[in-house]
Amino acid sequence: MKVLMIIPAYNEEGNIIKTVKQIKEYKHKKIKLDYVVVNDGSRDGTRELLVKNDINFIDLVNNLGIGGAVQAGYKYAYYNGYDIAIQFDGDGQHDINYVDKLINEIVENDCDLVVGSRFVGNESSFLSTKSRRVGINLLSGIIKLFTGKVLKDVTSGYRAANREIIERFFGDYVFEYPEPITNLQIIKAGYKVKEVPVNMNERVHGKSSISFSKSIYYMLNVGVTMVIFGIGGKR
Amino acid sequence: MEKRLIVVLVVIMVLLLLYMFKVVKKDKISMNNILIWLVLDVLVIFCIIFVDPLFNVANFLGIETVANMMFFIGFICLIVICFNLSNKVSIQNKKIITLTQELGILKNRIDKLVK
Repeated sequence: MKVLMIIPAYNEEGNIIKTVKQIKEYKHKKIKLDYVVVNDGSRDGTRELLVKNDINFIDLVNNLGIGGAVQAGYKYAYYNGYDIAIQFDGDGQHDINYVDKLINEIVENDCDLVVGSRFVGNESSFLSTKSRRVGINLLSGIIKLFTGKVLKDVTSGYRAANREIIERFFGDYVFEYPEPITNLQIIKAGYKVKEVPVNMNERVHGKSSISFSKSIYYMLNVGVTMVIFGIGGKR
Repeated sequence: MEKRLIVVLVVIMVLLLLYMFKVVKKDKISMNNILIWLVLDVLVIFCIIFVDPLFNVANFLGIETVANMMFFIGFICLIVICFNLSNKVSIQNKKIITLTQELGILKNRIDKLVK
């Protein structure tokens, strides 16, 4: 069983080495983790840092945004024959100790896509701000409306995909704000999706990719896209 | 329409047409991207010269003045062209993303082979 951690990194010189170290030092009796960092055209010293520390990375010459960076990781997983690919943020938000739970759902319970969730169970120390939670609940409501399925943490970037989903993401991925929209698409296409409680931390360095001023645009963009894909037939 | 105005307008449109020819010749723009503008330009020239039938068309459509009709048609044309361009930009964006990703993966592969 080959497992790849996909770590998108845009201007993450403050966090990236620590994140990779966590993965390298991760010990589990059954699971061996490979990783690839996707340097999304960073303008700080991220690239030099990756070279200096001999870290396996994909160097994107243009800044593609989170969707394009993560898809590059999925393409890498596809080309290199990985069975499971896991998105893992380069900013220290995600907790490596929950990775076995995500993998387990795919291996033991035949899930296609597993979403690490802050809002299921009581594992997470950080639950995002109130206004964001309102937005997340709204998007979650759209998924419920069109698929009948409950997915609480629709924006979670801590996800594990099996080979079938890797192949799907290889061919088609959402570039701007991928998680909520791809979750809807995958559920709608009839795949088995499950939410697993995980811990998430507050960011240590740098800013979140979605600032408050952009949140209106975000909700409009993602909301309308989800409604369009929700109304349409299976894809 | 005043004769002088017709001459001035036609001269302007013909100059524009010649400019577009020049741009095509210099290979700055491909035919599939400029064809719509060429066609529009020629149509406008026709409309300027043969303005009388346009009154009948406007009348038929229930639009009071020819000027209003021309603005309306021009507006619709521009919207269609703009939308078409948005579509093209987004297709090209997708292609650039794919190229960037494949290049990145290739660089990763080469680095590993060199090591």
